[in-house]
Amino acid sequence: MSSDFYNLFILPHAPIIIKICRAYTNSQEDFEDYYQEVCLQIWHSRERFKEHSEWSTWVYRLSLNVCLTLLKKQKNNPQHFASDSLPPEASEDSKAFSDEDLNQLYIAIRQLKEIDRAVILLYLEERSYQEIAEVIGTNPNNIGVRIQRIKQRLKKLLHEKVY
Amino acid sequence: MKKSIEDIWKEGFINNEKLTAPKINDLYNQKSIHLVDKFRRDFKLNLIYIIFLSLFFLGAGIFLNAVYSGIVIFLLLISLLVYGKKRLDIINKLDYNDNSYKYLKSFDDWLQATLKGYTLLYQIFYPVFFLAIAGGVWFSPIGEKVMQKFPDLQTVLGLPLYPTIVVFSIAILLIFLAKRLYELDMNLIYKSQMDKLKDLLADMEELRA
Repeated sequence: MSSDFYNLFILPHAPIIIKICRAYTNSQEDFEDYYQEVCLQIWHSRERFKEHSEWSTWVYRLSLNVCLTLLKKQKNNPQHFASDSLPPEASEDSKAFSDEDLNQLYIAIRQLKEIDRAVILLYLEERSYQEIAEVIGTNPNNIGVRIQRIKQRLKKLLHEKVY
Repeated sequence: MKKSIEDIWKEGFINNEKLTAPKINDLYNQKSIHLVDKFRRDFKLNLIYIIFLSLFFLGAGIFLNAVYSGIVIFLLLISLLVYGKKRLDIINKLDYNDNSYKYLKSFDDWLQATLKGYTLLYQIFYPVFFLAIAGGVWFSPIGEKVMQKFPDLQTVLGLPLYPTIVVFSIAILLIFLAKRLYELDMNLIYKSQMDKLKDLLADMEELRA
């Protein structure tokens, strides 16, 4: 991958790629692998980008697809916890961010179903329902209801951890 | 809860520059090491399988009163085993510390040389194997029964003339078909890995361009 391509087309979107990869991985090592794979897939697939959508939307979609694919491939990696409260060791790198609240939120996000994680990440990044629906491949009318449900679940997970 | 999740998110990422992107440097290394390791494992398993197969043929030859055929096939398989072991020793010396392109390229060179070597070996293996089986059948009680049933059968050096011509013709044909047969055999075991190697090398060559 040329550094020009990386600097011009990927680096501006690195924050969202990082956020997405963090939500789908439990360790620094996995996170780095996912990030690299996403960047490489963006580079490999660049010619398939059609200007029907924004470059950023396309990057989100591709990042999510790569993460979901890698997640499926990973064996012996518990993705869901039966309990509705946060387990104490929910993540190997639970201190990935200096902000404690943010760490807790990330741990909670990792307890969600794979698609719900994508929806809430895009929502938190203030993407429109239309764009979220476009990335996920669903109807924008259902997104609002889905987000409310996910937020309730997140609040429950965070509440039980904090109090 | 004191803050909404939106606030936690916004405040946590007030300064996006704090998010450091990992360096893209190691993915291909990991992929190439994984690919070569898998190939090496399968190759080793295949050699173990050959050991069992050679013992099986030796035992079957003794059991079916076709000792010479059993020994010939045993020796043929052992020659494959010895060659395979030599090639395995070479692949074990591939240097993990090379950059991934060089590592994979060395592996590909090894693979091509190994395939060439095996193709030559199989040009001997297939016809001799076939002759050993045919000879084993002829010198076994089955052959005796055939002689008793057709006492007028024309023979040369104790072998029935026309069936021997057919058997030798097939053996000669097998010399020419050996490469194709070996490729079929290889595709059954290693095709997906060889395709992956091809793709990975093509990817890396594109990256290097």
